[in-house]
Order: sequence, then C-alpha cells, then structure tokens
Amino acid sequence: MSSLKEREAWATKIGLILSMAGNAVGLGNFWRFPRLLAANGGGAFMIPYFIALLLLGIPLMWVEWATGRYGGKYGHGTLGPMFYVMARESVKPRKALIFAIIGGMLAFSVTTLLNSYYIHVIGWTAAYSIYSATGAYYGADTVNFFFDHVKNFPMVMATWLIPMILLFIAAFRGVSKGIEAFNKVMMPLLYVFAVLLAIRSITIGSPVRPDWSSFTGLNYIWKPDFETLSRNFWVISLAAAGQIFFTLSLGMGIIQNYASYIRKGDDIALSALTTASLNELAEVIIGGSIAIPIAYAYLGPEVVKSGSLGLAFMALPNVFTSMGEVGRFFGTIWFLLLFFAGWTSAIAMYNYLTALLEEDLKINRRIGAVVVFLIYLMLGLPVALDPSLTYFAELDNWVGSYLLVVLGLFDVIVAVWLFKPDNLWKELHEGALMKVPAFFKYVLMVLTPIYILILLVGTTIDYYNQGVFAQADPLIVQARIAIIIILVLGAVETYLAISRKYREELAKNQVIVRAE
Amino acid sequence: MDPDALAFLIGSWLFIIILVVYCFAKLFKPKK
Repeated sequence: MSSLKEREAWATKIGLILSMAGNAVGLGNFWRFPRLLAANGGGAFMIPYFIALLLLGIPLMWVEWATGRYGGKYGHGTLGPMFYVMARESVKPRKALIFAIIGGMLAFSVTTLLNSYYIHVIGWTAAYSIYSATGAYYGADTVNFFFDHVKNFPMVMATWLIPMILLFIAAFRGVSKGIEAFNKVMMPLLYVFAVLLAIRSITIGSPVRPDWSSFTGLNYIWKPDFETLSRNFWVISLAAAGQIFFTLSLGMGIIQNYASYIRKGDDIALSALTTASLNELAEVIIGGSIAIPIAYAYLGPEVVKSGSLGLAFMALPNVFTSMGEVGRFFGTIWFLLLFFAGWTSAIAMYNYLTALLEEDLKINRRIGAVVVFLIYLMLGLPVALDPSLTYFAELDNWVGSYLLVVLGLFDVIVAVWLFKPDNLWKELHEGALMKVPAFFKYVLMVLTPIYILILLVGTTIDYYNQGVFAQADPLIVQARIAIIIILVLGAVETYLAISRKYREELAKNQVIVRAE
Repeated sequence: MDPDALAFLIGSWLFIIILVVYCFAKLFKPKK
C-alpha cells in the first residue's frame, strides 16, 4: 500500500522540531502555567510537576509520536484511523473500530471546540499588543478595561480575524510551505521576546517596596514547600499533572497529526525528547521567570497568589503602566509572545481538521482550509457573544482539561497495550538517534495508566465537590450540548472514514490491509 | 534568595538546559 508518496512531509529536521515545539509551546506555558503555579503554592507545585513530567509527559510524548508516524505509513493523519490500525494487533477489526471511534471523537471534539475559544484568546493577545503599543490601558482600571474589551463585539471579531487569516493561509499552503515556514519565523521570535522579558523581569529590582522584588517572586516559585504540598496533596498533584497534559499538547491528537508527516525511517525518539525539553525550557525557565517575578515586584504577593485568569491580561498591564513609556515596548512584546505561542499551537488543531477533511472525506486541502475557517467562525461565535465567559469556562473545563486526560488513557490502552509494548518499542526505535531506556517501557505499561486513572478519578471527585455537575446556567447547558453534538459528529465521521477505507477488512473481520 | 529555593532553581534549570543541549547536539551531530 502506498501512502507516503501521496502525503506531504516536513522539509527539514529543524522545521519539524520548531513546528512540534510550536505545537507544544502555547498559551499554557506563559499564561496557564504561572496562574496554576501561583495558585498552588509555588514551590509546592513544582515537585509533583516534575514527577508528572517524567512519568506522564515524556513517556506519552514518545507514544504519541510513534502513533503518528505509524498511522502516517497508512496515509492517516487523524487519530481514529491511527487507533484502528494499532488496535488490530490485538483485537479483531470490528472491535478495533470501537477504540478508533472513541479516539476519533475525542480528538475531533478537542480540535474543534478547544480551538474555537483558544483562537479568541489569541485574538485578545493581538488586541492587547495594539493596546500596549498605543498605551490604551494606561491610567485605566485594567480589570474593567479587560471586560470592556470582551464586551466590544466588533473589536473582538476584528482581532479574532488576525490569527484566523494567518491560520487559513498556513493551512492553505500546506505542511512544509505553510505551517513549517510560519513556525520557522515565529518560534525563534518567541524565544527572543521571552528571553528579553525574562532578563527585564530578573533585573527589575524592587521598584515599589523593598520587600517586593523579582527575586522574592522566584523564591516563592522555587522554595520546596512540602508542608503546603502535604496539606493539599491531591489538589496540587492533579493541577500539576493536568498542566503537563496541557503544556505538551497531549491527549489532543495533534502531536500524532504532525508526526504522521515524518518520513518512514526518520528519528522520532530523540525528536520527541527534544520537543519536550524545548517546551520545558520555555515554560519552567523562561515562562517561570516572567509573569510571577515581575508581578511580585510591582504588585506584591497577594495579587500573585490570587492566581486568577487576570494575571496576563489584568495584572501585567498594571506592571507595564508602572514602567512608564518603556512599558509600552515590554507590554507589546509580552502580548506578541503570547500571540506567537498561541498561534503556533492553534495551527496544529486547524491542520488536524484540514487533514481530516482531506484524508478521511477526500476534500481538497485548499477547499478544506476554507471549510475549517467557516467551522471555527460558527463555533467561535457563542464564545464571542458571551462576555461573562461562562460558555468559554465550561468548554475549558471539559474539552480543555478533562477530555485530554481521557484521551491520554486511550493513548495507553491502544498504542501500548493493544498495539503491544514490543511493537511500540520497535516503532519508536525505527531510525532512532537515541535508545530510550527500557525502564520507560514498564513505566508506560503500568505507572502511566495508573497515574492517569488517579488523575481522572481525582478530577471527577474535584468537579463533584465544586458542584460542576449540578450547574444549570443556560450557557453551561449550551456548552454541554455543543460538546455532545461534536462528540457524536466525531464518532460518525470516524466510523465513515474507517468503514470506507477498510470495508472488506471489516466485512471479513480479519486484517487484510498492511503498510509496506 | 533562600538557599533551598536557589538549590532547587539551579538543579531544575540545569536539568532542563543539559537536556536541551544534549538533544540538539545529538540531533544535529554531523554524519560520519
């Protein structure tokens, strides 16, 4: 069976690494990470964070890269068909189809709904880049300023169009000429801006009070706080593990999609580790040195520890205002940094849907890029029309958090257990530039799924205790209906795509189609 | 800075920096 002849591929190794790093490095690194870190005791958070990185994050990165390249050999760029060809190694095709449908619908829901609000946040960063450059929020109450912005529908839609048009152009031009080319420009710029901000943050001294400095902020992040951790063990551990999923873009299907464009025989083991380490460089070293230390120095510990959504959009504009005219420059590069980080992740989700239309439904990529634009316009409207952000928060609770972990569990069930650990290891090491320690094979077989199960049960209990299940606000109900409709559509689409390509195999219920 | 915090910061940063340098050196090592 020929597949790669017809499929696009990454043009260069550095292009692949920067695109994958762009996929992983997102708003999670600079916006979500400081927020969670601040709200979960700083140094208390970092301990379970590193444990989750080693036992969940890096092993699952290897699994998702291997899944993607294996699926690419069959010409698949979407998760449903990838799960199908892997699950067949242990179960009959018709049973494999069930796992495929679960994987396909979860990835479909994440790439449609998560991106529908994620692109709006990127739009806010575009707007705030302009506001910073013009000094629009100088002298204003930044909390009111933020809510005035999200209530301003024409402005919200106009700035939403900036990332959307760029996303459309990149997807329209394809993997190497579009996505790779954009990432090769945006990712280096992102690192340059981030390093500039981190240097400014660390050298800022104590501009407001002698006991408020960026170093006291760093102290808060890095002082190992076992006491706070032991008092809030589950809450902090769950937040840390959830962040690992979000920051590495795991449980979304988009790592697998990018990995499907890797040529057979090219390395994935070392490339996956490189991507994870670049993400951690951006998150822990650079991201951890910007928002919290700078906010600590200007606004003090109480504002930092409140850990609200507002750290990036409400608290930091106050900091830039306090810096005077130079604050306009730092404000602009802070929001441009967020823009690049968000955009380079959003394009992975946009491309997932374009690939789905192209490969599963045989719609030309260029027409597919237009269709995806219209899908995001339609799905993004309820987000733009709800300035209370209730609809947004409900989507984020489920497709931006919970379903990622569910999909992570199915990653292990299908790509490790059903595909069989030895097959996974063989796939991972085909053309590999490093040997992954065998220890991780056992971690993946036992520890990772247990960790994910605990995370899922803990999050469910947490949601129950917070009363998430009992909420009946019309906007919350609307968000839940949207999630259910999208899940059903994803299931139907996956079923149609697989049953069309593997019709004979499913009829006979035995494996017939094999990649070369 | 608190000595424990400084030690944790240096250890974590070094771990990540070494990992990045190791990966890039191995990934772009010229072929013999």
